[in-house]
Amino acid sequence: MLINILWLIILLSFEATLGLPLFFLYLASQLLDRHGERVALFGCFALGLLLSIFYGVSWPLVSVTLLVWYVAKTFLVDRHLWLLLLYVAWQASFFFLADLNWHYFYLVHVAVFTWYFFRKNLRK
Amino acid sequence: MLRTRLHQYLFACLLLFVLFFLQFLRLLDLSGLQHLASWWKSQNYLLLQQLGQPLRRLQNFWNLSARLEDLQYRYSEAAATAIQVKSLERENQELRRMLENTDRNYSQVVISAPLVSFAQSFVAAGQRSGVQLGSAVLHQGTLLGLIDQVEERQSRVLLLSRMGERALLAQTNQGVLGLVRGSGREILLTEVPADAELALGDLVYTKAQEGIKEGLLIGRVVKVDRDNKALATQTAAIEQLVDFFAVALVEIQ
Repeated sequence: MLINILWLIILLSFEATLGLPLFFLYLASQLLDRHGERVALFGCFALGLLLSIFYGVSWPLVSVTLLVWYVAKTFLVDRHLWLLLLYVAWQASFFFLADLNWHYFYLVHVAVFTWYFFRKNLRK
Repeated sequence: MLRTRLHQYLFACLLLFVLFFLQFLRLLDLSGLQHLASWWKSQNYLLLQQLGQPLRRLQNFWNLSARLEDLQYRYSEAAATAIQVKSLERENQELRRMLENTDRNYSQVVISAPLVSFAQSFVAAGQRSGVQLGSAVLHQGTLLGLIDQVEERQSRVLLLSRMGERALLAQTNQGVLGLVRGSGREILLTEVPADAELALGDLVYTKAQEGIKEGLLIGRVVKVDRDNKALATQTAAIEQLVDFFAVALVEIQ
C-alpha cells in the first residue's frame, strides 16, 4: 500500500510536469476500489489534496469533483464506455480548473492512456 | 447498510463544508507544499528534457532540412536578383561612358537597350522616342546595323550580316574602297578591285553617304578571297569587334 502510494505520487509529479493526471487518477481510483467505501471516500479527499498541491487548485473544489466522480462511478460498474466518458468529462473539468494549456504531448499521453484503458477493461 | 452509507456521505459533505469554510477564512494554506511540488516538478522537467534530448535533436534536424530548403529558395531568388543587378550595372556603365562622351548631340541620338526575340534583333525605342527608318545603330562607334522597321515602342534592326539587298560604301584604313553587304552569316566587303591591296587585320570604315556618317567602324578584315584570278574584283570577310546580342546599350543616330 505504502509503495503504491509512493509510486502514485511519483507518477503524479511527472504527470503534473507534463499535463493532465490521466494515469494517476485512474490507478489511484483502482487502488481505492480495492478497499472499503469509507477508505474510498476519504481517499478522494487525499487525492484532492495531492492534486491541489501539484496543480495549485482549490482542495475542496477538486475534492467535490472527485466525490462526484466516485459516486457516479458506483452506478456505472461494468459500463466501461460510460465510465470512460465520465472519466473524460472529469479530466476536461480538471483541465479548466487547473487552467492548463494545450500541448502536443497530450496526443501521445491520451493515446497511451486510451490503449492502456482498452487493454485493461475492454479486451476480452 | 444503507444507513451507514448515508452517514458516510453526510460525513464527507460535512468535511467538504469544513474545507470550504477553512478556505474562505484563508486558513487552508498549502503554499509551502505547493512550492515543494514546484521544485520537484522543475527537477522532473530537467530530467524529461534530458530524456527528450535525442527527440529534440531529431526535430532540429527536421527543421534544418526545412530551413535548408528555404535557404535554397532564397539563394535562387538572390541569384536571379544578382543577375538583374549585374545587367543594370553594365547598362549603367555604358550610359556613363556615353554621357562622358561630349561630342554627342543628344537631340539626334537615341540610347536604347537591344531586345532579342527568337534571334530577331530589336531595340527598345520606336516612334515615340523619335527613331527614324534607316537610322544607324551603333555601339562605341561601331556600326551594327540599320533600322528597317519602326513601331510605336520598338524598332527592328537590320544587322550588317543580314543586309543582303542594300550595300554600304566603305573604305579600309589603307584607302581601299568597297561595298559592305551581308551574306546572312557574315559581313562581306565586296566589289573591291582585284589589284587593290587588302591585308588581314585592315579596319573597315564607312564612307559618307545618305543617312550614314563617315568614319564609323564596321570591323576588321579576317579573310580575303582571291582564288579566282579571272574575276575583276575580290571579296573580304569582315569581323565585327562588338556583337549586337552581347551589348547592354546601343545608340541610334
